Amino acid sequence: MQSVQDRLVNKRPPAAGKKGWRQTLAKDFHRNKYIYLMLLPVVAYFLIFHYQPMYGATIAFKDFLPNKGIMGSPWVGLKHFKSFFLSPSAFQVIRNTIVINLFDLLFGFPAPILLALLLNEINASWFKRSVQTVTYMPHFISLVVICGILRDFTSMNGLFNSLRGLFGLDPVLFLSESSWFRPLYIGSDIWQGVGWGSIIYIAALAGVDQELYEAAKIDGAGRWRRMVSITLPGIAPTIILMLIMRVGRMMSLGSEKVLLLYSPVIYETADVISTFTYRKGLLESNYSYSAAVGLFNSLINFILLLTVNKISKKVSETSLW
Amino acid sequence: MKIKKTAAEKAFDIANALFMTLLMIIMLYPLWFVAVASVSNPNQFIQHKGILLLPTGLSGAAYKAILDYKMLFISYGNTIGYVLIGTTLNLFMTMLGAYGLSRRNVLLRDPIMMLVTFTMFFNGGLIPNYLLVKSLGIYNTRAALILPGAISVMNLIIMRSSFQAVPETLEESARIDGANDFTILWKVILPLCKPVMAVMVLYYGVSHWNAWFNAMIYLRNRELYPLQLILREILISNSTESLALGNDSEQIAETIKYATIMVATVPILCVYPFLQKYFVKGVMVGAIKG
Amino acid sequence: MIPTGKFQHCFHHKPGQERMVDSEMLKKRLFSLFSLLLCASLTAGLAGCASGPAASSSEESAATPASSAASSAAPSQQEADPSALPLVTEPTTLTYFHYLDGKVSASMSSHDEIGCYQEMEKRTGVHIEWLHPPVGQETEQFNLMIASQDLPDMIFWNKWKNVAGGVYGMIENEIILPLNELAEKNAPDYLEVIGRNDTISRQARLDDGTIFCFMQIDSEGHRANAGGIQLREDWLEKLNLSIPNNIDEFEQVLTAFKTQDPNGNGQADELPWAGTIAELRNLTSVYGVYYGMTVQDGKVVYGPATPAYKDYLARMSSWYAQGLIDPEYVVTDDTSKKAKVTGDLAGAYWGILSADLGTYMQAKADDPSFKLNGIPYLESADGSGKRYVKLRDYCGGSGTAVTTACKDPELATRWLNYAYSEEGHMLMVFGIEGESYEMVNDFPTMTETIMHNPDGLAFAQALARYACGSMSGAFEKDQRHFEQAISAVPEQIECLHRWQEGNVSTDIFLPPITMTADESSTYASIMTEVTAYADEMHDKFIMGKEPLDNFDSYVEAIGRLGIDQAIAAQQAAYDRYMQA
Repeated sequence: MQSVQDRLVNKRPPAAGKKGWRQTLAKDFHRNKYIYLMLLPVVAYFLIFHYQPMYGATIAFKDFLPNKGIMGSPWVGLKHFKSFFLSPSAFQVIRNTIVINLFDLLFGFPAPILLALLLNEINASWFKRSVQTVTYMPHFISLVVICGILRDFTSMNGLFNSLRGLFGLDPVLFLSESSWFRPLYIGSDIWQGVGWGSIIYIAALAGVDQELYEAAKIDGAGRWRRMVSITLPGIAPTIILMLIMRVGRMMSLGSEKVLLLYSPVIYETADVISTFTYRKGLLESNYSYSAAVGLFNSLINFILLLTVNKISKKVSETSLW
Repeated sequence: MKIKKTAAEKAFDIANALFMTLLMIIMLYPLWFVAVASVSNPNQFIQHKGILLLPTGLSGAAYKAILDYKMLFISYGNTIGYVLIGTTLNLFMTMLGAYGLSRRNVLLRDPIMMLVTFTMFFNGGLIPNYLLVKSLGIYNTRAALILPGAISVMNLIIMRSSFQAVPETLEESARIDGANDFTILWKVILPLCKPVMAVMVLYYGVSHWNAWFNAMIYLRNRELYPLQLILREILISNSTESLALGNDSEQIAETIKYATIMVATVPILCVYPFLQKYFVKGVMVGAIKG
Repeated sequence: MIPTGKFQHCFHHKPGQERMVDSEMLKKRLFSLFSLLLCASLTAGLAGCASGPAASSSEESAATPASSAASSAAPSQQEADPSALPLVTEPTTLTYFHYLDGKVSASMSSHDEIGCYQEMEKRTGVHIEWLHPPVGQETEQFNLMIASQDLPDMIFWNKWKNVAGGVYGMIENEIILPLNELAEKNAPDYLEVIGRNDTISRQARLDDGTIFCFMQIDSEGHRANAGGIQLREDWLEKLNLSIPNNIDEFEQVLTAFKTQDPNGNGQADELPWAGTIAELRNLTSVYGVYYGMTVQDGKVVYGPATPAYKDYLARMSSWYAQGLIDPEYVVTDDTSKKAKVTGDLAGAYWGILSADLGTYMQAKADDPSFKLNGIPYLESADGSGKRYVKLRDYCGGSGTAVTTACKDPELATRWLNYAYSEEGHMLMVFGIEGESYEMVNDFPTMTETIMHNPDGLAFAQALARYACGSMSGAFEKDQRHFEQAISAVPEQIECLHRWQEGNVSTDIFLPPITMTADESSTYASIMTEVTAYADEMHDKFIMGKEPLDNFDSYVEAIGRLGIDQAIAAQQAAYDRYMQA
């Protein structure tokens, strides 16, 4: 990425100095006035809705008192960070956040790829289309409804226990067993997202040169062989790109689904950083503490994204920006 | 020239077809269950054990109960409003940003891009955002659900990539014909980027449809609630109390939930197959960088 | 969650809402209550004949706010009479944060639609702009409101004693106003109500005498309605069992429910004990401890770290293993509990009068064999022969505070005072004369619209359109309302009667103490961790996922979380309360 400085250097002799700066800018504004006009609301939006609240993050280093406001509250340094890392919850929520993400990466990520590969092997187009239509469907069901259905199916007399009954298994109260939370969370994620997630791979598969397949067939390559030597390399860039994006948002795992599913009985496996900050902030009105934990999360997220982006730039020459 | 399939390949085809069929059943059965349960006789339904294939007796009581619940329909209307207005604004803003940030030779492009991407990592947190919404005077108004999320950075990046993929020569020739940036965006770029726009409609639309958290924080007036917040009351907080007004409706609490799910879900499920042809094109364009 | 008329919630709140009543006083009170109830059942039988209650007890007339109309009407004062109506000469608006009761949100979207508030606006000339948080999001909205300092004129809240930083903190940080002077000047009726006896007087104030809000004051019958064990009396009769007196006998009853198929469907699908986790925890009182801070011999101790609690766990885990407890108890909520009780599955549970017993009986009105009833509190296992029961406090900690942002605190206090005056009280509790009630022989008798609603609404829901008698608010509850509220289902009266049998005691429960800002923040930061841990272990022990042999290490872990400091904070507040 070229910095502004470099561009200037390229366009103007180095001697231009400060005045040159301004002139160049003025000229640029004039030349691109419509573009800047378009960018104006966008920049305004980001300044107002994203940058203005950022100063509020300083409450992580303060004891926030409502009547004093964010500016007037007293500074307390790292007090809230210390008390977070010393509390037994810290280890638990960090671990849970990481474990759920790893599981998702392990099972949730490959599932759509697998589906796309299998769909690709189907010749009857009507059948292929029906499978696609049906598997896209859950994507359009809202999260609240998905969680509502899940809660219902996992109840004592729910569908899942009816199924267990068919195999002579004792009923399980899924959502109150900490060991079941992760499978349910990941499983329902896959159920909802596998079809939708496969679209991109199907599209990538369509882009693989068909002549390669014909040639391979003539060479007597079997299905398995063709998949390994042609299909997979063909969609590898897409897979890598999706992987980067997935890893990039690891720590920002949304609290919404967890909030809709968990209960104190299963905090052991279900409580993640974002739900923890929600509870601390909104239910216990411990705003500064909550902000400190949130800031810690942002920091990890930031490092993670930078690292992944850097690695991918090197390895595959694809990057987010 | 046709190559004959080996026995192993045939076996694979059959296994594959079976697996796909099973997958379809897994995808469809939960909804079938919900549909069937919603029209079942509530008392028989509660006693029912095992797999449910057909309704246990027929009863429209659950639907009758929710049809009487005016909040469900008020919130339904609200959500449609949020989706339409919100998505329009999203598209407009994202389009402007994506165009500006995809042009070459704009000096401040990279600094602005930095400014934008930085917000992906840091945000002020709940309380500062809440204070902001209050101070802008949009607390407890519809704008509180629409303005704060006017642009998603991820979507901006996707749209920008696809705008960048438009050949420069087209833009040049338009400029020679005297077109300014607005015309170029409207007449040159957008017609070529229809698939990505379709996908943006879908992404933004679905996220507005799903949203409940901001509504929970920023709205106080029930008349403004989106559907998901009402669904949450019924499905997650289990407060069918609001619905079960008369005394004889106690038993239908369970089937009311299913009927609510049907009412909230079926319309959108009827629409999406018609949009399906856009998915593949758009997602592809969006995800691969130019 | 805001209790929607379910008082057992108060039962497992952090301690600080309980009070001590010496058993003599309690007996007296219960006796008079009993006489009231007899009258109430009479009223139920002979609707309209209401001469009894009016004459029945001296308590009762004392429970009605004494008429202050006469005194305030006297023009002898130099200043203008603060309660003269209308309160203002030109239309004035005050903003009022008040959470919405489920009975209101079911069919209305604001208090504007309730008859008594409409009438109150007409009479006082003050328009109220209601700010209602979303149902289920009350705590979040309350906290956000405080954090953003976007304060309305008045705030009604039900957990003042548990707010972050404590009530003292709220005053120090200039969020709410201390009201002593304002009340002195503008709220003669309220002062009269809270001055009625020492206990009320003490509970309505902080330790140092500060009046911080207009408290909701509970009446006698209402206070006794704190919940207890209810069971299927028809099953008892069917299986030839007698009413259990202690935990062993109770276990025999539950076992019989499990094994002898009282619902007669040929399957052992009965759930002898059903209900929520919190309801189950109420059974700790049978072992002489409260699930939370509890009092033993004048000392505050943490109940879930006592040997008695271990005995409770041992019993419960054996019940759980035998299938006597609903295996779904950890995820049970009010709706699923209702389904289990009315679905002939549940045998016994912890419940309250109207929201549980009353609702279920009405739901099963077409099934004559279905009969629920309460049983007396079980005798404590500590050998004292006492039956521990937690009565609601006179002032449970709900009330309306006036904020520092209030435009006109004088007017706000005068307006709030109105609900405690004779007229205002009748309006708040009974609604509008001629519509929701009629005076029959000096007794405010609910009309048919309320008692037998044409739309099939239950009593409390029907009344919610006219008045707040069955809901929370800044006013005084009324015995005469309570009698009629429970008379629709005679079992409710029987149940209340049973709950008063035996040597009932409140010894183990903390009174409604208040902590200082420091104590409160120490206490809160320790107790969030402790409570989360104890809650988690409670179910692990009962479900057998954690062997009870580990109880000692569990107690040690609680010690490591700093429970001693939290106890010290409560002890200090308790000592102050006892000396006040």
